[in-house]
Amino acid sequence: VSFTVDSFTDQDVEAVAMLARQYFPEKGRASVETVGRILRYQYLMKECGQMPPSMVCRDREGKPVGFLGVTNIPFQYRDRVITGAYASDFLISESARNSLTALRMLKVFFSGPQDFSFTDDANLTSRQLWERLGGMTAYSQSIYYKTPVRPASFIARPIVKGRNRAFGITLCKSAFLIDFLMNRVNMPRFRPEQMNVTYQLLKPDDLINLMELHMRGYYLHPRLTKDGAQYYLGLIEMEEQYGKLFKAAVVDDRGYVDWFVYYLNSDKSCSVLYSESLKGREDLLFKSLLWHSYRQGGVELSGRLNPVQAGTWIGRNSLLLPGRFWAMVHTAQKELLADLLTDKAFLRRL
Amino acid sequence: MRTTRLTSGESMLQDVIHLIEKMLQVDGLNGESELIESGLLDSLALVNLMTTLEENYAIRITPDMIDFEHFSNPAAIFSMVQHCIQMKRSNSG
Repeated sequence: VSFTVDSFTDQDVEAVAMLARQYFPEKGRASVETVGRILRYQYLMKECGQMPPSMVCRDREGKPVGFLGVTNIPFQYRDRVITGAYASDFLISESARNSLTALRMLKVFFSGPQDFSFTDDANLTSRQLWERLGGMTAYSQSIYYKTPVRPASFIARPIVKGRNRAFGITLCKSAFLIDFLMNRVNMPRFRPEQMNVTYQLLKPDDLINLMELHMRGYYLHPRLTKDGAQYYLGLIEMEEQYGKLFKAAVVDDRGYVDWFVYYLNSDKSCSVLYSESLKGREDLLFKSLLWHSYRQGGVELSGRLNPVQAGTWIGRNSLLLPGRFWAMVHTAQKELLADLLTDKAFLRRL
Repeated sequence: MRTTRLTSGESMLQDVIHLIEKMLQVDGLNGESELIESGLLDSLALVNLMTTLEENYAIRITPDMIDFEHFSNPAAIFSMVQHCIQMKRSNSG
């Protein structure tokens, strides 16, 4: 066998950062140092757990040619605490693809001591590998949404692509004006004056409190500690290559309403990482999120739809895109597997 | 509906080789041709090959059978397929 699978260590950071920049376009926008700093933080801090470790695949000379990032997360599952191993940044360099490296790495990963393994960003190839090794696709967790924030600009965007610059500028300015006027003449898709909410900077304590309130009713959800919340918020702050970060806890006169985290990128698209509300306040969540992104100049919002949000405002008013990325699970425990595939499992890396 | 082919060992090996050649779009393989070390078979190709074998021989290749030695050459794959067929027969019999 030409390649070996080892634990990811500090010595591998630079080589893996270079690979990650090559294979993940969004990481390619950041420097090797920045990507390395994120990798070190994300996969080598004690908060990401000990076993199984993140893995590298090395060639004969010991050089990393593949990587599988692992974050071990304590989960509350019914009345016990279990460990979920979250896989991310899975990559194999072209030079190592003809030696079954991907299957070898996943086999090693699945054989770890975790109760279950999961990911929420598998592409079609990864999905096929997971399924062949006994994993399952969590279809209800694999639906993405896209919704306009500025409808006229949203429609103008695909028309402008590939056209000449003068036409593009004219159309975009016209669309921006239409969106502005629609808002002025009381035709907004949301009315902030009726919402009466306050946006607070999301802090670790808010996150813990909101998660605790939000997670009631789930069979399985992450057990968030203060260290865990700090780790997570620290990580998303480092990932500047995705755009400008906004993280807010939304409060009204009855207390917490919801919380959200999104990146606003340079083309004014808002990529939502998390947007969760307290039970029964889902519609308010997306209206508050839309208004927030509108004020930041956003044109569209996109993100992964939590299954419990499918019947709410966002589910009814968005373009739903199943399978942009797939949520995958793997476990040898049959009862747990059945629960993981329901919408009562909160399958996120928090 | 596909059915298990009751062929002699030799012709079934040829059948397996033919399937692999067709899938990998290569010619001239024999029972001992290296598939993994030679770089012919990558992870995705292996997944597709397993699906093809399952469909052609009405067998089920379980995750615990994905031992890379079983896929190192056509003869090893043929042995694994035979094993799966025998397992299926003993389970149904």
